[in-house]
Amino acid sequence: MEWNKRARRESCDVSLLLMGVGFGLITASVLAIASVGLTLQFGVTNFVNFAYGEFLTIGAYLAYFFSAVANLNIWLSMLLAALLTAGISWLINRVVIQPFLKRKAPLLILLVVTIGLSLFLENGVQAIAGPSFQQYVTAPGAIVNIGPMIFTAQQLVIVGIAIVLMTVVHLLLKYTRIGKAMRSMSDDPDLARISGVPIQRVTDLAWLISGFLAGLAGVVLAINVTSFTPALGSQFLFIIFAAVIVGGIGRPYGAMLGALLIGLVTEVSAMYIDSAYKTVVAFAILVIVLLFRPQGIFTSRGRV
Amino acid sequence: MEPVLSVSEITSGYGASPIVKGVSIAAKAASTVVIVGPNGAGKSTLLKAVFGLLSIFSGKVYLKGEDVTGMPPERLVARGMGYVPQNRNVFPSLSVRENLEIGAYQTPKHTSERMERVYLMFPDLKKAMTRPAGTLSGGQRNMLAMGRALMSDPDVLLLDEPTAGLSPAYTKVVWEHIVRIAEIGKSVIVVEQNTTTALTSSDWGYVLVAGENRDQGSGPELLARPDIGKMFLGR
Ligand SMILES: Nc1ncnc2c1ncn2[C@@H]1O[C@H](COP(=O)(O)OP(=O)(O)O)[C@@H](O)[C@H]1O
Ligand SMILES: [Mg+2]
Repeated sequence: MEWNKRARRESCDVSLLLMGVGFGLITASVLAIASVGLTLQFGVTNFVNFAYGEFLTIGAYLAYFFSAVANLNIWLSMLLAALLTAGISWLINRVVIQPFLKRKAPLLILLVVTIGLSLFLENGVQAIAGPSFQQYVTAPGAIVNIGPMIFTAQQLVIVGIAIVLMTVVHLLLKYTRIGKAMRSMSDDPDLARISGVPIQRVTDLAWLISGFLAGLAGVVLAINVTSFTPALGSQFLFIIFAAVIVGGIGRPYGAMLGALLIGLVTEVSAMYIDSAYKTVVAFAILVIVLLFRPQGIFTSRGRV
Repeated sequence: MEPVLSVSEITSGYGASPIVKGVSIAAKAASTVVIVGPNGAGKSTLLKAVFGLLSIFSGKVYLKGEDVTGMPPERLVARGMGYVPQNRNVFPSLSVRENLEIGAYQTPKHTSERMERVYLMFPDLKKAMTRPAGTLSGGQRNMLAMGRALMSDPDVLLLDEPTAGLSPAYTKVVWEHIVRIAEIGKSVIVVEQNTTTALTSSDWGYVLVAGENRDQGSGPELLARPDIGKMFLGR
């Protein structure tokens, strides 16, 4: 009797844990896409873009437009939204940010500029799309059970997209000329210039990739949370920062691992304590990491 | 023979006030030219100005007979100029091989042949090919930095104190490499503090004092001069 009860309780604990891991994998996937986009841009340009959350929002709303208004398939809408967000990101860098860099504005000014941009973009989205909740008209698809973990087909697609994107980013950085140039700029922009790296082109590419990943992350985030407002991205930005900083800011591989860690721990914790504390848990991880390894846990030397 | 690099009376500096004032130097193919002078004389500033890192207030820079005054570094690299700064001259998180590949960014066609040539010249680098450059010793870093600059197959190579902080033995090794780089046809312009070795190994020397040309001559000639000896060699 006693034995049976204990065995049942333990199996229940394990399945609860595994359920949390399942949710964690989905959150980690969304987070990884977003974090790599932020950290790549930081690596190349060396300042934080506080308007990055709004890039996610813009992606989510563009996809909403393509799917709900233009009646396109959600994945096609996602792709179009990501491409457009890439263009917007590039444009914002060229039109808003680079003029300040050309005048050698101090870092603090750039920080203020991107924060101002963040407010402007969020309110812009709200002015166009309205403040109320939106939702994509999509079916989550069949339920897939992997052990005690339950996924919808849609969620599995999201995990698949994240894996593909992380692989592509890895191949880009490790094996392509322009990817190596991005890493060289991340190491030392002055030396990169001296060595003949066309820094404007590499910077453009960094903003394009960053915007693409942000737009795409915004769409999968919106799918994942089902309904969203213009605050979608800014609310998620803190978690992105946590993943990026835990992994060592400016380091794409660190961001991937940081996303996995933050995603898993926040979702597993939500199985045992109130899920409203997810952000607190992420914050706790961040503080612990910053206390003991301020350069990030997954890093040794160099930046990327 | 026409000089490969000819710097004609350039004045340059960091803000508005000139540091380098009306300096002229020239360098021929397959030769080493050394620029010596006391600390703060403006030697590094001169190299930065020639390489397009500082604005040139007046004067001209000619590369292979063409006016390249004020051209940005990436275009100068594409046209055959290479530069190795004194500090922070490798990408620490990139592997040795990737550092060399970055050096070939403007001229990607013959990357693998050039890399073989660099490895032939610096066998140490070949052994450390896959290691992050940040783990190399100071001397190895300077070798890598030179190798990186050679990857664009420049006609003119500007080196800023390539032996700073190195032991006398390693200094000799570096200079052997510099001489060999000149022997394969390059024009190498070296800023140096280790004046004796530098002047002994160079074809021509310039003495820069307070941002101005003070003297020039062949290495042995300058070494033999008592006033130069007093100025730099503590004799
Ligand atoms: N980045 C800089 N900004 C302003 N002044 C500088 C800078 N670097 C060097 N200087 C000044 O330029 C002068 C010449 O310096 P430098 O060219 O480095 O001399 P050298 O290489 O001959 O030792 C010095 O007075 C130095 O203070
Ligand atoms: Mg100097």
